[in-house]
Amino acid sequence: MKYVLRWIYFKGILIIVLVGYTSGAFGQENNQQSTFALAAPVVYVDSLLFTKQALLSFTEGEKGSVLHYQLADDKPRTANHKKPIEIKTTSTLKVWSTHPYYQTSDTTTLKLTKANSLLSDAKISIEPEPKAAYRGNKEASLKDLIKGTTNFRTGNDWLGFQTTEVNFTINLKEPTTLYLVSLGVLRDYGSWVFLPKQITVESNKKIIGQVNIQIPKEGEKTASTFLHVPIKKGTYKELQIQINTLPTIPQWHLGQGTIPWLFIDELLIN
Amino acid sequence: MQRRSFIKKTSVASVGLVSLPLFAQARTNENGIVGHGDFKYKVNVNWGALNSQYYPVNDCHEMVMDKKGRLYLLTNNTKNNVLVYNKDGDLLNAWGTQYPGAHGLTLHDENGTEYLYISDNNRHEVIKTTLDGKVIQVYSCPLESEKYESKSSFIPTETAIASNGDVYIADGYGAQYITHYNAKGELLNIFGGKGSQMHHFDNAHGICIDTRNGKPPTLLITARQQNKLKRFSMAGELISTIDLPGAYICRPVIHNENVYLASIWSHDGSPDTGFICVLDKNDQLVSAPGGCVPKYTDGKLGNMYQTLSIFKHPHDVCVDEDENLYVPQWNSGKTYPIKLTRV
Repeated sequence: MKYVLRWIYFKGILIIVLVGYTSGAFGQENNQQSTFALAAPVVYVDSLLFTKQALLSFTEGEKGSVLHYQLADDKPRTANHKKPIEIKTTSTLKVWSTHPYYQTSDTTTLKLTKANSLLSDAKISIEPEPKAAYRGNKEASLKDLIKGTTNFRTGNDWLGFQTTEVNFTINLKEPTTLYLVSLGVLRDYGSWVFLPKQITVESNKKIIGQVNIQIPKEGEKTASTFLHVPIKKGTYKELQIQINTLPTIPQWHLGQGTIPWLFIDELLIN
Repeated sequence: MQRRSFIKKTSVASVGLVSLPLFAQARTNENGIVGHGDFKYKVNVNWGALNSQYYPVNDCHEMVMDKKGRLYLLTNNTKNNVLVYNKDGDLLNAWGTQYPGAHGLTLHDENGTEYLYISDNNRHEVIKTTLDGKVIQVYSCPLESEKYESKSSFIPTETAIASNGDVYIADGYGAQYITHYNAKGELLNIFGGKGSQMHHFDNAHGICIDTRNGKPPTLLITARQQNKLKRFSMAGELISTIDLPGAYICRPVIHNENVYLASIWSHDGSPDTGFICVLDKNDQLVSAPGGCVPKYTDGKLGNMYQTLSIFKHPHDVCVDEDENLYVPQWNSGKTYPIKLTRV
């Protein structure tokens, strides 16, 4: 409760009164900023993987909020939820919202990837099989050029594994010059889904590329993203991709000691 | 007269006695008020906070209120599966160490005596108890229905109890059947199940009995992953569906002419995106605290999404006689229930 002195004239007489009032919601003054933040903006995109162009649109969000976006090296701009944005090249897009009362939202980061169709005629074998609940469209899911969202529970985008090693063997229709392999993966610690620990690419039983992924830290956000493995530039017809997960979920997590889930939705080669 | 409407009417009368400019600055503005239309609320995140060293929680799954106004919170922490609060958020009692999968909590008044029904998805059972935790009856996997091969494939999430004592159990994390027993515990019917037809379920997470508007009782059952509420006859026949796109609804809770639901996720099902739903007597979404403004176009609700980060994973809504809401949350950092005070 707070108090202020106020005065009014009543029939020519000045009356001074002590007025008590309570503060607004959340135990704060209404004109101060809330302890709550805006939710991260919802962005609709026809596909995070595209061959010609991607069209992005935004939701309106909380009343009074302002949408902002920034493309990799460009300056921040104000977005309008009624005007979609067109993207024609591989881009990283950041979107956030501000409001005079609520805290600024978290930033939604989207990686839009212009993809090719080099794998469309390839045969991909998967060992072991994904878990029964998350088989997607098996091999087809890996080369359909549709990036799965963070909602892995619905649709046929994601293949889910709970094992320490997954192997893909790719047989291309024709020998092709390559320098990069990319793997679409999911990170969702709340659902016990972790990125792999290491990805190794071989051809003719020789390692041509390998990356180690940093150890997961508590608080890292859920994301549908890509892991890129640069490979020795050359002409290849067959590739073996070995994906090793963490042996167990880290100590800081509720599921410590058990094998994490691995979710993969897409394979790309360049 | 309910206290909320009494306060509202007496406040209007009081304001009429004084000069308006004097009190204008004491009014609450729209900032910090959540919800829409006539269903707006102030948020108190600290309402149910306790010393977690003594009264820890893991997931806070559901809450109910007894006729004395005591609020029962169900958590899957086996140090104290049930925490009993008064409406000020003071702890009155704590009990329960035998419910590792404590998930669903339903209160039923049986001839003047109230009982709790705990759906335990780890024990694969529903346990009927007194309000202080004495076990009265246990419902296990309905193997006699020949729909289940093993006890462990039965993973109940919620119950609804009819006025005649019939018990309906939703197997929301298991085979998606709704099992119907009489008051003696004898199996009468089983319906639903997994599948692609409209009478099937994908995550039959919650169930309640709808007797609003003087109509014969029907069952309202959530199909959470389908973003739908499905209305069935008490005999298990599908009557209609209510589409709530973008709302991953946990269980329906009926209070007066409204249906309240916690949506654990929103939009595309991303984590930490929950909000609350309030439906009117025609089952139209009229308020979404924490979510966007509900908009209907040609009778169809637009896709719902979170606009304010108040909730992470709200799992249930308990409504008191003043239409304040108490919201327990799943997987939200072991936090205690949030109170929304209606304004």
